[in-house]
Amino acid sequence: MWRIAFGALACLLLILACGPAAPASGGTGAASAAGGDSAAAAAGGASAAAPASDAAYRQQVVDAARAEGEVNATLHTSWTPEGIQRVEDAIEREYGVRIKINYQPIINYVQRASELLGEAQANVTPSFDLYQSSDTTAAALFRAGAHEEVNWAPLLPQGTPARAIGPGGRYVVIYTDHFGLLSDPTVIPDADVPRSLKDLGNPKYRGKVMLFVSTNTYMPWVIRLGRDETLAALRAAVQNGAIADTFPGHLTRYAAKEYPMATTGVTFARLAEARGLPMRFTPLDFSQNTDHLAFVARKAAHPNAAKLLAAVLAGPEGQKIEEDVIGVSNRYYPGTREAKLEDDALAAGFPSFSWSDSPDALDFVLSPEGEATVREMGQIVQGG
Amino acid sequence: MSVPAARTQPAARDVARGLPRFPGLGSGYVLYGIAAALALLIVSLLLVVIWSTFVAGQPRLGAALTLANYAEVFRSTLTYPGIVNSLLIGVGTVLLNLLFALPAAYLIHRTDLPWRHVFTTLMLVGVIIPGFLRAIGWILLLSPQIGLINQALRLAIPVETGPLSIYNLGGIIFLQGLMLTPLIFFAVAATMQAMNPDLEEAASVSGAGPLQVLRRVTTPLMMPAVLAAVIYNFMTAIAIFEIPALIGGPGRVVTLATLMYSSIQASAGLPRYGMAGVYGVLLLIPTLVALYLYQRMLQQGDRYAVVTGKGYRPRIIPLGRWKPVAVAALLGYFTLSLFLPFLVLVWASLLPYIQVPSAAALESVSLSAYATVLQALDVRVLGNTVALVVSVGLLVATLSLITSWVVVRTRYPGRRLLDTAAMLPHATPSIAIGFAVAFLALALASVLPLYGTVAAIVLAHTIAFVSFGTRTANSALLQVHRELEEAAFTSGASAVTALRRIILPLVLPAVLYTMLWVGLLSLREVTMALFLQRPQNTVLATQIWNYWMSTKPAEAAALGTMLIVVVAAGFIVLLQVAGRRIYRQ
Repeated sequence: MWRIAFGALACLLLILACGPAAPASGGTGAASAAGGDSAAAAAGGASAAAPASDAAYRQQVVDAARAEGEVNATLHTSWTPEGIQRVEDAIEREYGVRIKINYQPIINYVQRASELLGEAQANVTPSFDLYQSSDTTAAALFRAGAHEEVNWAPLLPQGTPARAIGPGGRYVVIYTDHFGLLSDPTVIPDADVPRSLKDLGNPKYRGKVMLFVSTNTYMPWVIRLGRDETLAALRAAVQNGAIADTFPGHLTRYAAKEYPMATTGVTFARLAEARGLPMRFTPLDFSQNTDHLAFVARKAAHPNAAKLLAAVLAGPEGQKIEEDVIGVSNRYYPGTREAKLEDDALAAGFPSFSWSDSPDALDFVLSPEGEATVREMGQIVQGG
Repeated sequence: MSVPAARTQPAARDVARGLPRFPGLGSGYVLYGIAAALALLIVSLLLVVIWSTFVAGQPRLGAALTLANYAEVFRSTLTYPGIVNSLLIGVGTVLLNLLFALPAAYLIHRTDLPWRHVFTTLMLVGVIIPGFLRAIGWILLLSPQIGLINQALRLAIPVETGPLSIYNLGGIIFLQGLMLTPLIFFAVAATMQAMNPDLEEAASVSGAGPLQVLRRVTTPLMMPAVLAAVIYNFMTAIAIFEIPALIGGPGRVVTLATLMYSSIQASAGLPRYGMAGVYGVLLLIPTLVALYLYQRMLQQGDRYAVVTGKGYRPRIIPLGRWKPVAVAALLGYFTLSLFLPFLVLVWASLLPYIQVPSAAALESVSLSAYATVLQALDVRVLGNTVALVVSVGLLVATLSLITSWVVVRTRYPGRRLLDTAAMLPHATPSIAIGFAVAFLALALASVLPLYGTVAAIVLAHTIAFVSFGTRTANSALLQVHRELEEAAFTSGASAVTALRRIILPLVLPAVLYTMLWVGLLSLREVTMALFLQRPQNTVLATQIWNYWMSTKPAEAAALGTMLIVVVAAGFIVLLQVAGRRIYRQ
């Protein structure tokens, strides 16, 4: 008897496990691609039609988003349930519609980009409606047409700077980041802080430095200082005992006081600060800016809800929520921490660099020569 | 035991050749068909992986084929050190595994050692601790800069850093040696439990001492199980990436697994699955060599048959005054492999960030991470995890037994190829299997609703772990003499009836261990689950990894701790209830 019961339970579990994703709340699989929401499909058509006016277009999107009712979004890893709730409230205040945000942490930009590209090539509904990405990673997606081009201006809350809108309506900038050096002020005095990538090869920093393992972050040095100089600087740092690790690895080793310095983004430096760790963030050679953007996936199941979410995140209230919850800000807004960081770096004599201001540089990164340079830097930081 | 009345008598030569009788289509052919379908699926997935090595950039249908990935891998200055380090890690890990696992399995399953259920549970529980958390634990102990053991040693030895360091090849081998010991333990445990004592008793009666019996009788009989586990662990050891990534980085030790991972975590553009596939192909080569040697050994299987038609009970060796020594030795192993990492896990779960124990650290201890995790825990995630673990355990045990029966027991054509196919996934990196399943699921999305579901992860895990199941089932079946099945066939039983009513009860310990072990591996496995993760199919392992990669180590540790405690409690109850079947008294 127990064998029959066990077999029945096993079969039931197998059937449950093999059950397709619920089409209403998931953007996955053929079921979603084939069925979808008729109202959403009609509204999706509305986003492609030329609007009579900005107000009419905005209302059209809002009505379609109301019909959709929810959005699947992959965003910054530090969002909390309370933070997401605040964003839902902000959307309701701005547009008069309540949208449920099904949030998943982005974890890895490159991995998510690859998933989206695979789904686009297979012509299935993407897993998420709204993707967060960086300017360098998203460039490959935009080239492949994995995004929807949106008329953002009528949707953005008042006070959103024009620079928040990406070229061709591809995306909106939801926060920016600086890449530089995190250092422990209790171990490294102010006067001894490295100011250049080449300084990391100085014997006095032997065994004290962690390098970020994703080497496309060093491409600005290749563009500004030259390929050979950059490779030499990285090689010297590695020979001086520098190790390569991911951001979580950096934070762990930094917190455990194993390595007092790390090349990292200011977002992660702020995480260390929020946890009570002593921290100092300074530029290396120049003030390197990165835009973190949100874009609507092509063939998204809930495209209009995704547009409203992205617009709110790029707007003033969304910026406030992001700063409170995940500790990021946007240099396109005057007076923010990011803007101040940029101003301080310029005042200290560091020139500025941003991908959004250097489209040729972005093209170089994605070129065969650029990719080969990135791979060579990857070999160097791994010890090759 | 009764068998159904025969409709026809089997031909004598068929019985002699070990073939089942087959009325109509024949249940033996049904089993053969299932094994062949499994092999076909495995080969299809591997062909996807191999095809991707000839595609530059994102693999897509219709892409031009190229050798660029191979050229780049073999031009890289890291490839050759990666190959050498991987082989050294594989050999070193396995030697350490044997050093720990064989004595432990013998003490627990062949002696009157006290607390055997407890030690078996501890072996199982240790599997759940994620490798990256083990590595963090040992960094806190043996980091040259901050390691607690080094800080203590520096009180006596005047050096600035060290004197010991975990950041080298030896450190990786040590950690993986501790981590993978349970695999060999469980692989040989079932065989030890089924050991027929007649041969040992005959040797003892003839004047052989205990050590001589162990060396010249018991050990040779264990060889199929030991060799199968050695091959499996070797391939596991060279494919692990999280420990070399954390430990090898500071020591500049690259392995094929870390090189493959860095290909996926591309710095620019998109992941380079083709290059990762090439590293996977390099990992495949030593497996094929080992598999060939293993299959040569299988051909002499009859020599290892110890379970015959006569009744038997494995002999229990009294330890006498050696009992405290045996218990201390096992506790020493568990201290290194389980207690210390678990303590680090609990410590990390109580702090806002990982830090060396100190008075200041104690002031920041709190349970807030547990509160956060419990508040955010989704019932769907729990449901997905249970469905995954149970499904994978059942599927692997069933498919492995069927495949092994076809390979070991029949003369069907191509059975050696079926065994080779069943072993191939273990040589294939997990991320490659995940990629292949995702690619096929996407390609078939319009006809099969697999993409984005838990079933996709079930499929990937089943393919990945069937290698372990077939090694264990092969070893167990080798110990069961053919005369038992032949008696059933002669009495008119079909192949399925013989398998279900005669073979299965005799190899039940192996089957149960396979289910338990594979279920645990599935519970812990994160690479494939991450790769196939979509909004609806998150499981606990990916939840833990998401916390870790979101720079929330306390939450990752808290969820890991709760998982271990719950699973350990479940195993203790399970082993108490099923103890009489597993430990024959």
